[in-house]
Amino acid sequence: MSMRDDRNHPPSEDLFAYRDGELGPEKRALIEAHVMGCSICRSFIDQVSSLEAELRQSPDRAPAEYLERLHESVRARIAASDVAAGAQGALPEEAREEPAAPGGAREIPGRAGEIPGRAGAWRERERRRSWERTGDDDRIRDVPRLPWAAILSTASAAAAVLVVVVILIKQGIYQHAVTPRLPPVAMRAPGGGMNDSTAVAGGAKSDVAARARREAASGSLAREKDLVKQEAERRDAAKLEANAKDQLGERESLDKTRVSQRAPAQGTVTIREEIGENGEPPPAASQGGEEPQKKAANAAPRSLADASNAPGARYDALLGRFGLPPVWDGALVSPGALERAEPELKSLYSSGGAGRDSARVRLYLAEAARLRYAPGDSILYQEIEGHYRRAIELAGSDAETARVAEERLRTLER
Amino acid sequence: MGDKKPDRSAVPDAEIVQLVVGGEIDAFDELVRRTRRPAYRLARRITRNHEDADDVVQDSYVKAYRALPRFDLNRAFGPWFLTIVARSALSRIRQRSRRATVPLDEPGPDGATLAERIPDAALDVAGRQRLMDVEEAMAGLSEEHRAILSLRVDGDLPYSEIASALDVPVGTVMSRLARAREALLEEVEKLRAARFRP
Repeated sequence: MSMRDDRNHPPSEDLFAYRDGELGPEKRALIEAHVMGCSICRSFIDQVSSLEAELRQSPDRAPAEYLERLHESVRARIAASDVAAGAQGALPEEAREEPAAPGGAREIPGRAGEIPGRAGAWRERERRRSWERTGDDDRIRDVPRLPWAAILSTASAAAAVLVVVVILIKQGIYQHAVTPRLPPVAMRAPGGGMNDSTAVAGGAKSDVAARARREAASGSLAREKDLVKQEAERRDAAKLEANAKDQLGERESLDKTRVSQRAPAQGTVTIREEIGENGEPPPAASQGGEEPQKKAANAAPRSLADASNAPGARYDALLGRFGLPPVWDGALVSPGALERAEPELKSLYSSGGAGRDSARVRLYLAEAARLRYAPGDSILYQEIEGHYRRAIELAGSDAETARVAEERLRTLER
Repeated sequence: MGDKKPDRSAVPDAEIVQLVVGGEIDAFDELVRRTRRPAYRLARRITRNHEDADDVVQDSYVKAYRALPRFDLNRAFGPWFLTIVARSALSRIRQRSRRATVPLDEPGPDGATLAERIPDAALDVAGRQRLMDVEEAMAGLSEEHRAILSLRVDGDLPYSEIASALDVPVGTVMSRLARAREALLEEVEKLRAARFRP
């Protein structure tokens, strides 16, 4: 090599690249011209080529039986990975990345009862093979075949459950979950010990508690997480309602007086009924059929707002400008109008001007966002879902808005 | 149970990949059959021991299987798979930071040493010695040099594939490979010189 330390020779990478056929035509011609006339470079290339030939000649260390066993192990792992992928459903590819199996990769896929069909056959074959191997001069370590994947996944699931439980306890959601369900305050007869201003927030709260109880009973981890989120949002909603209450001021006290005059024996009444009493006939079925409610909501929902300077007036005016009904209705709202109204709805909401119409605004915002939604857009999905959930919480006694938001949320989840 | 597997030995790689992606998992067997020997050899050369090589090859097949939906059908499966093996092997030895502490003649999966596996009739004494020298020289190289030489010699990969396996530019492959070859030659010369020294 020292003989090649002459500047007259091309660098060794060029010589090797020439030999490996990795040079472009021009450089190749250049190096070739040199090599043809330079015995030192030719000898250098030959020496290295001969070493590499010896390396290739080196005996294979993998006998056929071993390669067969390797193949079987690969089959088993592929089958296991396939089953795991199937069990994980539509998880993204990255989420299914399997960590390196500890201490090697020979665990038998899955656990008893977990592997259906073909994968079960793989396992069976693997079991038989291990029987057949007994007495074999098997120099490959025959490690205990612990179901590492299963152990790890169980352990991590347990840890996740523990974390969620701790969070839930901190949030006090379990207390909500186990509280016996009270009828929604806004739906109870007046004189029940709670005024209407708390009825709105109280109704939302008891709805959430009821939902929490249902969800807790179902034992769904994901839903419990949702509830934690909802609980936090509920607090925001309560604040918002408190603001709305302040803004509504005198009107509420008027409503309270009117509600308190109603006979307890009448059973349930809604705020909308109370509003109806303010000069307009109440909707025919405040606690029953949804259609009459819907009609009433869309036909004459703002009677009180019209009669006052409440923030609802801003919402009405906005809707009027874009020709939108008071509560979103797929049959009545054109996508174009919704698209145009969206910025103003957002600004109304963020300025706090939506007041008691907050739920309806959130419903509209959900629908506006939904116009842009494409499957797989998880960020937008969360935004839409958030609008619906908030709309449901803020709706309080606005049963129509709550119903539409819940229905739309269900179709979104589907 | 008694199902007879179709003979796919003549089916091109790309078609087999399509079969596997389409749900015929059994077709993956053919890809394994075609690549298992060079894969083990490459993994063994880089990791320098059977246990690691075995794990690396198995892991690599699982990774390749998962990545098949993204496999470029215009490429050959073999070189692509060997780049996965090389990456896994390098990652394995980095995890273990074993560097050249494994004896050269560590037994293979059948327990036979390298010397025992050279058939008597295949080489004369001098030939056997040359072969042992080059193996020893290879084993004495740095991990970086051994890996790149293995990719070129055992994997027979073009520079572009080596660059992809090592995650370096092609220019780096050219220079690193040249340094590795020079180092191998130097090591072999040293071994041979030592043997002839009185």
